[in-house]
Amino acid sequence: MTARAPPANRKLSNMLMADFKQCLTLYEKKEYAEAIKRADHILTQKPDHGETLAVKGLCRYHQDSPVEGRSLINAGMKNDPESYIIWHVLALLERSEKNYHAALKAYQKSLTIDPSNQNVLRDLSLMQIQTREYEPLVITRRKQLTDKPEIRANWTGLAVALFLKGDYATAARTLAAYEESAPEKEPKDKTQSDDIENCELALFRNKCLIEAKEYDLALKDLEELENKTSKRHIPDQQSILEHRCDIYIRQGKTKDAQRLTRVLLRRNPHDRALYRQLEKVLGIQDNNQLKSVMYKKLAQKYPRSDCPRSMPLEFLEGQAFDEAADAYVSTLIHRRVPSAFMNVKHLYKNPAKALSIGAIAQRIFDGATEDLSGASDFLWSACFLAQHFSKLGDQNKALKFIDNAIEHTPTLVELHLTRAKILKRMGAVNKGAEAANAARELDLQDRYLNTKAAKYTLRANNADDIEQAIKLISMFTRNDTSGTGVQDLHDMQGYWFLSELARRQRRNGDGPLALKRHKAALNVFSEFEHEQLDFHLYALRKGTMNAYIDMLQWEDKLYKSKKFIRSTRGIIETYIALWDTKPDCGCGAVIPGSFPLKAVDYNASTTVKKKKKKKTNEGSAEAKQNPNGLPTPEHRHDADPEGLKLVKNVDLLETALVHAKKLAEVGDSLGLVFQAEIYLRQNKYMLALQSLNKLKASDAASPYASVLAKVAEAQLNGDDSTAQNLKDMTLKMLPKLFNETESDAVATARLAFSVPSYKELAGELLKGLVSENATAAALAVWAANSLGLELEDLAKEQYPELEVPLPN
Amino acid sequence: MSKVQLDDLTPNNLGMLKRINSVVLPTSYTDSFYTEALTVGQLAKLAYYNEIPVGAIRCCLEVAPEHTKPSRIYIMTIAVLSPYRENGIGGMLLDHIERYAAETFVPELSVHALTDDTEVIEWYKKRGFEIVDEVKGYYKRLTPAKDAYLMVKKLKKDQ
Ligand SMILES: CC(C)(COP(=O)(O)OP(=O)(O)OC[C@H]1O[C@@H](n2cnc3c(N)ncnc32)[C@H](O)[C@@H]1OP(=O)(O)O)[C@@H](O)C(=O)NCCC(=O)NCCS
Repeated sequence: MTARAPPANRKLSNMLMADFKQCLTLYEKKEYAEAIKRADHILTQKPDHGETLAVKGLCRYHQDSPVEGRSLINAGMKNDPESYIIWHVLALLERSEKNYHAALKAYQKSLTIDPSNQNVLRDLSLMQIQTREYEPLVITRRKQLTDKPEIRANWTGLAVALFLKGDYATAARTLAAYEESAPEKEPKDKTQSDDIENCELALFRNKCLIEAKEYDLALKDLEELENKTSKRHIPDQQSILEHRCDIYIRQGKTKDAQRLTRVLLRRNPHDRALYRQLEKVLGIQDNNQLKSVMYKKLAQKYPRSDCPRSMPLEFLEGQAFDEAADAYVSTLIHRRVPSAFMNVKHLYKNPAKALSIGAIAQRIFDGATEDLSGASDFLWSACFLAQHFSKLGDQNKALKFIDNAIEHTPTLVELHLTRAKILKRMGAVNKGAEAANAARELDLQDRYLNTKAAKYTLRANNADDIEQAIKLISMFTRNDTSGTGVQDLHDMQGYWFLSELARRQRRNGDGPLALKRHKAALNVFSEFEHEQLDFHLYALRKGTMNAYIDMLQWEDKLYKSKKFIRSTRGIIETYIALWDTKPDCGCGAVIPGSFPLKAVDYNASTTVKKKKKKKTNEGSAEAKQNPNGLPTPEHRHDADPEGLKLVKNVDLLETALVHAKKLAEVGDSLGLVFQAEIYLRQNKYMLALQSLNKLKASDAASPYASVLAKVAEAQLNGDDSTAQNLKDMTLKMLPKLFNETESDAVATARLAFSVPSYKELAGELLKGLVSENATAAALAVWAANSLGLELEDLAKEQYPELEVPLPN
Repeated sequence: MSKVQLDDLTPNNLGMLKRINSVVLPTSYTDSFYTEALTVGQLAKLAYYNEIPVGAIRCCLEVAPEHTKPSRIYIMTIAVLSPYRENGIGGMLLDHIERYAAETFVPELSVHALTDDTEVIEWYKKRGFEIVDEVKGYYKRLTPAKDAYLMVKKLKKDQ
């Protein structure tokens, strides 16, 4: 295409042109202040020079003035909308802002104006892969390859793009073409990384052939790779075997597949997936008798592997199960395996199996001799039985076993941890935290124990739990000059800590802080997404395509993770609750309000008073303590220590809506329910109905959702009395909204808060929760308490150890 | 490999010494007793049975007035969890200290024992300790305060 003549205002005198070029160089060197000086110089003479405005904008953006930066770029764009430089600048800004789709469009536009720009072409391909636009990606990569066929990464880049698009045959051909055309290095020039790259490339090419269903070609290819005299030989025998076995399975060549699966099993008898694969290729998946024979033989063959002993427990029944379980469980206990109970816990879905396993442990317990030779059997069977009874719900019996064992040997760490768990299940959360801490104190270098103790502390009910927990985790983190590791756990993506903290803050009724921590927890996931960007180029340059493709596939499932969903639900719930507790929200008009939070001062100043640095040498003492021997990082300035910026001048419902949409997008049906709840609060009944209809169309429709839909309909028709009736129904159904009992109590109370006449009914519902389990009971008491209802005595009757959460 | 092994006291396993002493011994000890236990090197040891700490000894060096060299090793605490007693674990801990004394040319060991704890007194006697003194109300922290014997074992020069 022919470029249009540039607009008159783009042209610069030779002198100013030199300035502009320098300005660009300075920007690239990240000398923003200097670059801006040049830009200003140009602008004094040509104030509407678009490209200069844009580059200045980009510099301002990087100087922490994002708003001004963007408006300068927009101004530049207005003056000169056909400049590839300005579009490129805009793309860079959007990319920094992580708006990958917008960046993609801007790169594309820049490229239509200046099709020869290699850098823009490369960056465009990055955006395309980041946004999973595989079709256009193939076109971009093909162009890169045509322009620069001498670069290896351009060939593999195209092949990866084709693979991702699903065009495996062309991907394989591309790689073959490269291997045939690539100049061969002299053996003496070959480095180890060349070998690794060749190996990766060969295996990737083979994978493409397999996916393209070119099985015969793929097998021939593997023969060549295996052949030591071939110049394509690779040393990775394991992968060759795996590929070949995979081909045989796909081809239905069962005899060969059986043989190779057994070879693979011999190489690694600890891989559960291989045992399942063997069942499958033997065609005995559904024949328990034959499977049992298979596992027995394998158990003899691989005496050190857990798999052939534990896996049959899943399908065996009756006496066969009892015998196999006896052999397995008693070995674990005799061998003092701390995870013994964890290994069989999943079998407790089946009550008969649970009983049988309990009986095995009981037999060992009863048979343990009083002298030292019996001590180990006594301790480990007692610990096992404690877990057994706890799992079956008999916490008192569990506690007796564990206390008995602790009296015998108070220095066995596992006993204290088990005790902590039992206490937690009894509702004795404070004592549970003490027990976890007792375990920790026995072995200070064990990070697992430290983490457990911190987690139990966050779930306890003492006023200083949060500080205590932070003190604990800081024993293992890289602490900043404030002396704590909270920042480090953000940097190190310590999701468990951030999400536990969020839940605790929510329980404390501190909405903004809960939001802040939920946000940090969610940030862990978006960081995973953004960090991919670094690998698109790196992996191709290093030639590690196989791991790279695994990574992309992992990233595709990232937001479907339970943790992401849990934190997203948490943040939405908190936003809605904050909105409901705002004095002027008018909530309760449509559907009932949320469980209350502490009042937020929306007028409070969010500027942080910088504390004057104490003039002690505390900092240096901390530095010496640092376990990693690294210099202590500076305590980064927290611009929003109380999370107020997340709520002040923020449309709480709109923000919640963004998260609810994401939740629906990743397939959590609550996403649509939340959307409806938000729309109802915004009086957007039509939109609420639409979300609920979408839910109805999926198989996740819930009675609660259909009642919500009727509320919306009644509102649309102006039918107040029906709306009121239906509201009564929502109250009854709300506890079914969430699966987690924790939310049941919260949800039930939510309704009662907004409509005082619901109080009695809420009381009944909360009473029902008390009988579920200690955790639910504690929450019900907490919720009732806030409603001015008394449930504590009832709960304590059922759970004498119950420690009720702090009242607000 | 023997089921019983001795190991050094470290900041990380100090909690084990605390735990053992607190369940076995009648008196409780101050925080500084424990933090200083980390500074005495081989004079503090944990005994492990099947990798579980079940016994511990903690001693200190005594330097007589006007002397520069330590004149004896004083056993501040020795304790074995009751289910693990009478298996030679206490003896192992004591032997370790005795060997260390010999290696470092410390001529004697000493310990205080409750006057009415005949079993322990017998235990020490069997291992070459002799009663040299009786200290009235030595265990001040017990209510009522109890008396103690000071017991000493002289080590042979050429051991
Ligand atoms: C005193 C104490 C440390 C001894 O610990 P212990 O591990 O039982 O000591 P040992 O096993 O070495 O000796 C105990 C007896 O068991 C015998 N024994 C039994 N089995 C044995 C074996 N396998 N190997 C060696 N000795 C054995 C010993 O011969 C010894 O008997 P003896 O005194 O008649 O010779 C322990 O009893 C204790 O902790 N008591 C309470 C705390 C206390 O009072 N401490 C002292 C005050 S500081």
